[in-house]
Amino acid sequence: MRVQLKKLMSVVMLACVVSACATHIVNTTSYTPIVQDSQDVPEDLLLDVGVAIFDPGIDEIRGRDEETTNHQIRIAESRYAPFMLAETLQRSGNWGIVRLMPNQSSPMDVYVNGTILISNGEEMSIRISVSDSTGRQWYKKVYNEMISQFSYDPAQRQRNDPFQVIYNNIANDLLAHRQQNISDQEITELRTVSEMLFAKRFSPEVFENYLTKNRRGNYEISSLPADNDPLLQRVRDIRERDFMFIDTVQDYYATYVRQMRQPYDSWREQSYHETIALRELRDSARRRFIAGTAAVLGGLAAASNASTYVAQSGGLLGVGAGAYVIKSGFDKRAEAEMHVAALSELGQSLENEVAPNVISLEDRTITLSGSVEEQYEQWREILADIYAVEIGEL
Amino acid sequence: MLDERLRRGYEDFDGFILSERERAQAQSNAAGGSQIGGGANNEVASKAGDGVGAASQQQTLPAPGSTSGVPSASQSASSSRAVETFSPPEDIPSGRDDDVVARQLREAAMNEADPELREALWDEYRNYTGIGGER
Repeated sequence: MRVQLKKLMSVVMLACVVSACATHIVNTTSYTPIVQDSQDVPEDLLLDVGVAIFDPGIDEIRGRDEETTNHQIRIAESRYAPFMLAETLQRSGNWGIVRLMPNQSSPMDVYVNGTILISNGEEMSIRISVSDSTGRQWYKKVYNEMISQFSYDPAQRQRNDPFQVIYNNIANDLLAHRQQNISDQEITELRTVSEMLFAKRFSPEVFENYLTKNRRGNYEISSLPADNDPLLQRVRDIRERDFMFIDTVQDYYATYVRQMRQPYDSWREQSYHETIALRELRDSARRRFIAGTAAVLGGLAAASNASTYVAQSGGLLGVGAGAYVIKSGFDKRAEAEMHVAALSELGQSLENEVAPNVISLEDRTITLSGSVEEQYEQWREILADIYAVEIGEL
Repeated sequence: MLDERLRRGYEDFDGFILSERERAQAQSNAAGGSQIGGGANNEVASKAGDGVGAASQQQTLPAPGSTSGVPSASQSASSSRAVETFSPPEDIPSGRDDDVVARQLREAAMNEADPELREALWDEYRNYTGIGGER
């Protein structure tokens, strides 16, 4: 009988301990600065980087994250985060021009694509994929950062985005890959391939044959026009204007980011607290369900196997204690639901503020791209006529 | 003749882009001139010669205090508060060996007017630099 009572007491004690245990997630305050290339790279060996608008990752939201993720905010972030990354890369001084690309039409030496996997103010996770103008994949990597409350300190915030570390890490990996894997000759080739791709876009009949695709489907240079080729010079003039167009779009993106920054930061900070509270309550509720169920089962087993009244009473006491712990688990779950509702409300409030800006940005970008494309079409026709004259068709 | 058409096209395009940039700049000014990403310009100095990018960057990201935009409320509050600094507690060393995070923590603490927040920042500084032996 004593053994049974001891076992029962052990189960009840264990239940109490388990239900009280908390899992601590350590949020980091460590900061990774941007690494600058130690060598002074000549300008003609600097690669131009195009950062694409990120995939908001809505299709990849799973399970409970669906409850607390606002799709419109994700879409807004899919323009905000790549701009921050482009800005970080540009500031590093390790690259040529770095731009957030309005579309896929303008060839760049290096392309950075990203998918936002998590963003809740406490944690940010982005899957990054890097390739170059030949079509060769450099690498894919998932970046994850959990930040501390310190990142939202106003003085700290004045200096950096709360998730600046994630952008710095991406920038540092990109530099490390270039340093370790891309030779100066390959850099020159990448730059040439970008130029030929642009030229091909405007005058395919002339420039198509300078590039071939290898067995892997990546571009290779098969021959080159003379550097003083008049048609190439015209294409270079047009490319300069294409950069002007992309720069103009940057101005719109910059304004968008500036408009979004304050409400977005405020949302992130509030979401940070709600997310932590929600996680702790859910963990606590889960522990209480497990511990309570164990205590109920242990108590029932003790009561049914007991041969004396005292042992049966002890078993029933265990069942009662277990039931109480389970009930407290339900209470915690209800409390957690309040935080889910708070997160949803916060999200809705930010959505109301940023969604019109996203629409306005898209409208402006599409209109501008359309006007530019009309002009490009005229230039394509003129270049085709010039080529026809040169080969004697006109 | 064809080159002349091309040249006229360039002129039209340049004029169109110029007006578009003026429009973008006006929108930017209306949105306020706070620097994106908080800056961190002291972290890495940009190389000269970034070409079109550098020029655009300067235009699109005016430095704090520039006249091209209206400073945001948070920026104004922060800059006016930054005038007043508070000495570090006695146990805080000179900070000569601080890395960038420690330096930022120190600056944040020295500029913080709220004594409770200031002490919390110094605690964070102590933890980070290992003064409390917890680094």
